[in-house]
Amino acid sequence: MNSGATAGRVSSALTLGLIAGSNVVVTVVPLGSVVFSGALAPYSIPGTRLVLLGNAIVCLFIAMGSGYRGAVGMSPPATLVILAGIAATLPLQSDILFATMVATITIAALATGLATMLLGSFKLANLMRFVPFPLACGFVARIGGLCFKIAFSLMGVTAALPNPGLLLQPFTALNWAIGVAYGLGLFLLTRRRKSPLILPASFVLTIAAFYLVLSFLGVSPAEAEAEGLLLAGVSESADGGLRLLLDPAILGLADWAVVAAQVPILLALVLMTVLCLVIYLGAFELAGNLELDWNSEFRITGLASMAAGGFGTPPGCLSLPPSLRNRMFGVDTRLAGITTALFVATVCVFGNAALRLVPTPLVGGMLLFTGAMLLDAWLVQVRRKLPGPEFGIVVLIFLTILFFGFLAGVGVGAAVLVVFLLTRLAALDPVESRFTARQRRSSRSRPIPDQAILRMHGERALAYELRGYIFFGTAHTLADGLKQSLQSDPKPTCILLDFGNTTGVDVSAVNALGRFILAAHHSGTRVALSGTSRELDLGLKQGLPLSVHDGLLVAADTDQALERCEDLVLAAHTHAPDDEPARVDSGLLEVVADDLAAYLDRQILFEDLVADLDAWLEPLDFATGETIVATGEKSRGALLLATGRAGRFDAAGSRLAECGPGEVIGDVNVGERRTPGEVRATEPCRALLLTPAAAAWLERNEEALALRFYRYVVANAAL
Amino acid sequence: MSSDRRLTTVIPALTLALIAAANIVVGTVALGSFVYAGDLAPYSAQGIRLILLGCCLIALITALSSGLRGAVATPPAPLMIVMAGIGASLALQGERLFVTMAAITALGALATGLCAALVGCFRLTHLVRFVPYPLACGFVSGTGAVAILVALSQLGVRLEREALGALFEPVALSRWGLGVAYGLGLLAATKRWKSPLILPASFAAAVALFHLSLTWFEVSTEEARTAGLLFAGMAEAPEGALLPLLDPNRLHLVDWAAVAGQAPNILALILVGLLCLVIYLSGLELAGNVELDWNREFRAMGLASMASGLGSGPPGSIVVPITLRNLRLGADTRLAGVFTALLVGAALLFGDAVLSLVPLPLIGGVLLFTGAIMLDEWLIKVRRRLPWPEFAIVVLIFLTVTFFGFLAGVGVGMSVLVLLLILRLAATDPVKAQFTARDRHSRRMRPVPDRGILRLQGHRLRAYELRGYIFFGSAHLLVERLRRSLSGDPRPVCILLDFQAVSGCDISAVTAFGRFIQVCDSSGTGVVLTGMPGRLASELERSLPPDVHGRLLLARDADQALEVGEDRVLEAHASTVGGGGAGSDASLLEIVADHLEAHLDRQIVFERLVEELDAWLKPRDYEPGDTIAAAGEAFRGLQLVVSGHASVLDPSGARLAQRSPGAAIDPRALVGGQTAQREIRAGDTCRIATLGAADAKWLEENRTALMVKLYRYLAAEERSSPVPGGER
Repeated sequence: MNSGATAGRVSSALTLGLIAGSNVVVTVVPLGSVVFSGALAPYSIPGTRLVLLGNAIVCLFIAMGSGYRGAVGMSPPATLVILAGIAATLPLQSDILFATMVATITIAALATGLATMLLGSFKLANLMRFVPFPLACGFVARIGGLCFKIAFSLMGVTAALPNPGLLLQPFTALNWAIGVAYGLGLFLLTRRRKSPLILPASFVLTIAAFYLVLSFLGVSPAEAEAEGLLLAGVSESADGGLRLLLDPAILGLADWAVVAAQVPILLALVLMTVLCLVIYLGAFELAGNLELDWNSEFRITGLASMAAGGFGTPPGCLSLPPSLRNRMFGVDTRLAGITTALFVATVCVFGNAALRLVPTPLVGGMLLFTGAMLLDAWLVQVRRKLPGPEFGIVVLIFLTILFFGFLAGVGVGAAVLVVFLLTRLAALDPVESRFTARQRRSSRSRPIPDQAILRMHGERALAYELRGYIFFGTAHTLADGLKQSLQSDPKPTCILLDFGNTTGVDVSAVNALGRFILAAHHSGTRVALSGTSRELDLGLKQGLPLSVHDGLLVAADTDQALERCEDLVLAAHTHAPDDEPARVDSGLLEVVADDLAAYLDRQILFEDLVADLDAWLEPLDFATGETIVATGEKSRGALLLATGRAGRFDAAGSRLAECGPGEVIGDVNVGERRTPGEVRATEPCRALLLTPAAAAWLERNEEALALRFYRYVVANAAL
Repeated sequence: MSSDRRLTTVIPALTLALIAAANIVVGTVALGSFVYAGDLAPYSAQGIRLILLGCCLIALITALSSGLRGAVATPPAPLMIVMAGIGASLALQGERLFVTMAAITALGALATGLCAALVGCFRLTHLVRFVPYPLACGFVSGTGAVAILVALSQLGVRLEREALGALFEPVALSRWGLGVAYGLGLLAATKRWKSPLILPASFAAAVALFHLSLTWFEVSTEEARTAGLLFAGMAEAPEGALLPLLDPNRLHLVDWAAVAGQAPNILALILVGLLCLVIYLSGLELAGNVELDWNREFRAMGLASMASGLGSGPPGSIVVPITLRNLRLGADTRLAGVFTALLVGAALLFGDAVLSLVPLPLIGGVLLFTGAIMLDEWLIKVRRRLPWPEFAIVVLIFLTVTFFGFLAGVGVGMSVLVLLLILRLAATDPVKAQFTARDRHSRRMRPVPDRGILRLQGHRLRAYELRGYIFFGSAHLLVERLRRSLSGDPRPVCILLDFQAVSGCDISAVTAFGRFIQVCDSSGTGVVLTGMPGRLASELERSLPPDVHGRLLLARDADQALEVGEDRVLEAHASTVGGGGAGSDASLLEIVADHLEAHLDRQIVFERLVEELDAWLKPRDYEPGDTIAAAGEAFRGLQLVVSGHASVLDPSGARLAQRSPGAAIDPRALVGGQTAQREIRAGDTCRIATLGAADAKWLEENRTALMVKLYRYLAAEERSSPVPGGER
């Protein structure tokens, strides 16, 4: 705690700790009264003290163990509201009712603690981080609104006032006017200056000024408290409420069957507290611009809640407004949280002596300031950061929480965000690129006439590179588009679907693709698939008739799939109706004439060269799949490919390039250079090796032949 | 319709139409009584006739205009439930109540029809076609279960404890026993044989047998009807025109204020109507294994609903069980729908003489058979086709539809499916590949020492190729992972995020990235971003403090990003060495020694070559960005880079390769007739020496040894820096 030792920070921590403590008391006391109302009303005082004790315990644990040193903890209001709902349904009376309620609270706190502790211990807290930014913004803004509501209520301004004129009565007006002036003044001052002394100094000065004004007006503290100018605190207990609270025998009276019947609501309570923790942590990280270890926060929350449960008090977690206030004022010391916990504990044990000294307008003003800061940052300034639709969602969540409650706001916000997400996902085109075998070729080396046929008829092999996650929102549009391509003119011989860049497909997409494959089968178009996942393979196998599935061309990679599509286009050209080839072939002849002539020229050149170099060439035969040059192997010399074909493959086994007769593999330079990738025979081939030594001899003794050889190598180097 | 005239088609069509009409009339009487209940009960007969008129019009128009021959349409049950709600909420009495209800129904049908027709006319159905497969499966199987329940109800089976004893009384037993036996028998027969004549033949035989049995047991037709063994028909309607809104004496009774007050309910009616249409069409495509032109079906349904609305009838939608039965049993002809419509119309206009001859157990049996077929195919057989989570959802939807209704089933199913989708999207790894500057280098040609440093320190640049749609479900986990990489030893000097394969991101992702960038910035780690979607770029600019945004390194493409990242690594190394980190330089020297030697050897060979070729080489200086050779332009000769760098660019301006001093722009240019495949530009101020084709030819003839050296050098060069995208 060395960092918290400087006087300024200590005074700030103490001041903010006291303010947070009074805020916790002010928030928890009415809610505690609500929990212990109705048939539990006679136990309101011990019950409220019970809730205060729980908050003190939670606050102390959070202060000591949270990753943020200025953290303050308390029971989330939503949790207390659920407890109030449970209390109202318990079909019991008198001490048994109180004991059963305490037992229920104990179970709730222990279960919540255990759940959060397990989530944190098994490092699962990060899985809970699915809190969308607009939801967190709307939630934080609403906390700001809630601060306003509580602040005004505290200062006597409520919607329930029968006559607005009452607001102008001297004490009421004094109350809210001081509070509003203090809150707004603080807000404006902190926007202009960033000193951590602003708050304690202003707080002490305002208290002094307040008491001076009271004495000047001749108003006694008792009168001021009666008029609501000082905090009223917890009523004094006349019947030993504290004794009842600390009596462990109380649990012996509990009706455990009734407690067991509350299990569904208790589960809802656990869920709600965890949800509050998730939203508070997310919002705190966001608003405080800091990073927390969620697993650690979950563990300390679990510990705090279990400790609270051990005393029969409700669970709790980090509280957003006081923690954020500490963060805003740079009070990152555990002293602030400890002060808050001690203050709450003092009020619980000794009543409201300390609390009675605090002017209500100051606490109200502080709440107003916190609310104004939160609203400014997360509703006003966020407008500039967010695009229109997202800001609309923030406002919607803010208003829904304001008018319909926390759960409704979270529900509506999550629903709108999910619809928004689905709409955006559905609007993404799952087709990354489209091409035909005319525009892109496989790496397979093909004879000139085949190349020309592919140039002429390549559009009969259509390829679609798909991307992203294909799901029910995009699958039908994709399948419709694919089906339309079956109607294109000329009718496609083959359609290639490359799933290499997709991140997954859902079962609707499998079904839609299956229907497209069926449609393609019926129209006589073959379908080639590459890069498919196991789920897609399995789904298609189970969903398609065997004959249709057997007709699918499934390839390991795009290149292989494209090669098979090209084969189909070539086969379709060969098997075209009798009158068609003549027409097509005359066009083909025109296209290939130049290429064929150049190819023949090169072949002549190659054969002449091989004939002249015969004495220096060493013939090597390779079977299909046999390695010609291994990855990283030093060059043995230049290999002139006489027959067959060879390909270069990457580490994953994908073919990068292929060459045929007349092309050259490797070179004759002696050096450190190593072959990138493996060169393998893709069909039986014969290569003629010219070693570096032979090349050197040629250079010395057969200059003209060496020139012809190097010239040929420069023009025809392939792999 | 010439193909429809064949007898083998007409007979099944007529038989199935008779059964469908009986089903529709029976169903309409039951649902109509539900809609026209409470204060509307006195107008039940009139109301049912209005609905029947709507059924007739919808069935006829659908039969004639649907893209699916054999399609039969009627008002769907969920719509009738909404209408019942509207009827119950009207605070009116007597004739006024009935006429106002008719007006609301008419308005609802017209509006639903108009919406459907507009969606179809403007070809917008792709916007509403998001029906997940498990939802359609669950919906169809749920419809099957509902069909079985309705059939059992028609057969007098009440699934209540106190009614169970009554089931075994002779009349009741004969009623449901006959129906169940016929339904199951039909199921067994159609699973064994595929003949379209099974149904008509068995139906005719069963009717004849039934009436023979009645004669045998001396039971009169009236007695059989009283016992519920024959269809009882509809109640007589009181005096008055069939169409109340076309009767001027009744039109003025419409309470238009009450109609206006029902606007939200009418809107719900429209929504439910369109939802039913989407779900039913999807279910039919799936169950019938047919491809429907949705735009056409929407237009047809729109027209049919508007026609029904003009007669104060409710909107309609294709009926999956009846249409499926027509398709399965060989009645895939428009005659099936037309006959159905005419028989319903006949029942409306001339009473139910024909229908009253049909034994109720047989109608129930056929419905039972339809339900059983749907259950078998879309709940039992589908188990083998679906992964277990999806099958569990199908079962959930099936149960919800069966016990809580169609809307609840659709709502629950959609929610669970969306949740599953989000979880799956979140579970998809958004990192396509990750590498360091050790594993992959930019195309920039760097000096040998720099290459050595990158080999030694390259892991201080961490690059992540991202993919897919990054959203609130995946953004935090991704950023958490990126943050963990910051704590590596040694700490990275630069993080490269390549968004090229990212299809989009939501605002939560923008915020998460923004926070990560701030963390990097405060820890002194540079962040290079490339390929960012436009939205991410603008949102980051808005959300980051200007100074942090100003320090971001933005690159045009992945190669440039990698180059920038490499620069950061080199700078970091330089500052470390400057700060006394000489230890790393010793190991660097070891690494680069061999490469430096090879490089110097090559430089020596190159410089000697240039010196010897000096008389024939024409040097030219280029400023950065100057074009050395345009794409498609013929090379004027062999171009050698003497100083500076030249870049080979693709049409988008991305660098594919870089040529450094000693390299040839394209070695094959020396052979002649070569054109530049890509544009080549000066990367910085550079000097290019060109050996013209004529000079090369002269040299080959007169200075062969020199040219052998040049070719040999070029052959080696071509191996080390191949021509990108060069075709032979």
